[in-house]
Amino acid sequence: MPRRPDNPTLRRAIITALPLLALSLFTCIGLLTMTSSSAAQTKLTWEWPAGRRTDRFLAVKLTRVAKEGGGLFGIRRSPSLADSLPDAKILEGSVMQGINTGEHVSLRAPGAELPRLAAGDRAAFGLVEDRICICVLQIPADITEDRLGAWLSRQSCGE
Amino acid sequence: MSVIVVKFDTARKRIGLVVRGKHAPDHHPDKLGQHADVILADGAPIGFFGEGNDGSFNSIGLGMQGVVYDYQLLLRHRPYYVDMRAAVANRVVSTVLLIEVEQQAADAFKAAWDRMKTSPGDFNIVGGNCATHASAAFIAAGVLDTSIPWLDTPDNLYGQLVDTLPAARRTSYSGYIGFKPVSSGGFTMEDTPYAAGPQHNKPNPGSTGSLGTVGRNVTPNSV
Repeated sequence: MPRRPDNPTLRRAIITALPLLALSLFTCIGLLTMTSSSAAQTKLTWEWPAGRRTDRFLAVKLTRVAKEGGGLFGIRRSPSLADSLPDAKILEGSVMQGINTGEHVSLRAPGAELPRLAAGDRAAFGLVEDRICICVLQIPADITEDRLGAWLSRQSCGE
Repeated sequence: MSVIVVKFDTARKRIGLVVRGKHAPDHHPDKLGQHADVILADGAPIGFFGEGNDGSFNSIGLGMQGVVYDYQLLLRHRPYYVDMRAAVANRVVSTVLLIEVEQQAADAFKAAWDRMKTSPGDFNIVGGNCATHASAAFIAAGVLDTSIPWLDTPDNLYGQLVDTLPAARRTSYSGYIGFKPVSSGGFTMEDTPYAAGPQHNKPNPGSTGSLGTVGRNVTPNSV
């Protein structure tokens, strides 16, 4: 198998140089992060069910559905980062029902696990342990607000 | 669908390296398109990841908190690394290198991962990543004497193991990899071999859809 020869000096130089490069770009990243942040949001975390069933559903009116970028050099897509998700999508919206009504929430989730959603749609986020989302359902258009609670109570996902 | 099943409850002790994104022994994935997990002697998969993003250096993979995912945590965070059907659906192809070791080395390898799980320390995408920590465990087990030549990548660690160990002690499998718990303890490894061809979708972790057909290369690769 053709591989590059071990060169400890060059290796050390690269390992030293990369953090310095990162430092020089840090300010730019910070500015980009600041300009892209919006009002306070409750961040929900995506996990796969792994034998769990949802505790409850959160009805959310979506204000933004977007494909996530990969960050600097695509590092956020590295599979070695715990929060790396395949084909990550960002869902943002406001809670439609219950004690959290009006609360702004956001979720990063893998595209393959999501129904086809767009801003303006209503989605049901299936939660465990309060803020961990294990599934997302699209709320059918014919479910009116007065029937939403009953519809949510009939939903289930996970295994 | 031809599936290779590898058992670990045998007299021969084997530990392994799993290189995610590596389609074949002679395939060299992009540096940010690969990840290393390992297999303990009972067949249990385990791996090291970087966690947290507070918007500082974390956002570029530096100074992150390390975290060790065992089978249960992999099911929650990386089901396509431990469930073969999820690997097929998400088109995640891996190459596994299984290495025959003595019981003492197998125990030392597990002990190294137990320590990492208790105290994972930091994660840095360069010089303190998944491959760096896997390498440290192989060194603790006495399988390797030195750290990874050149950059710490899973593929370079794979190459180092192949270059270092005699062929009779190692076997390589490439394909869609999964693990199943065994009632008596431990795990079996499953592999649906992947073979590139016009009838196969290009491996593309993260794309939707599943593969109707998969590879038919049912013999382990020789490396």
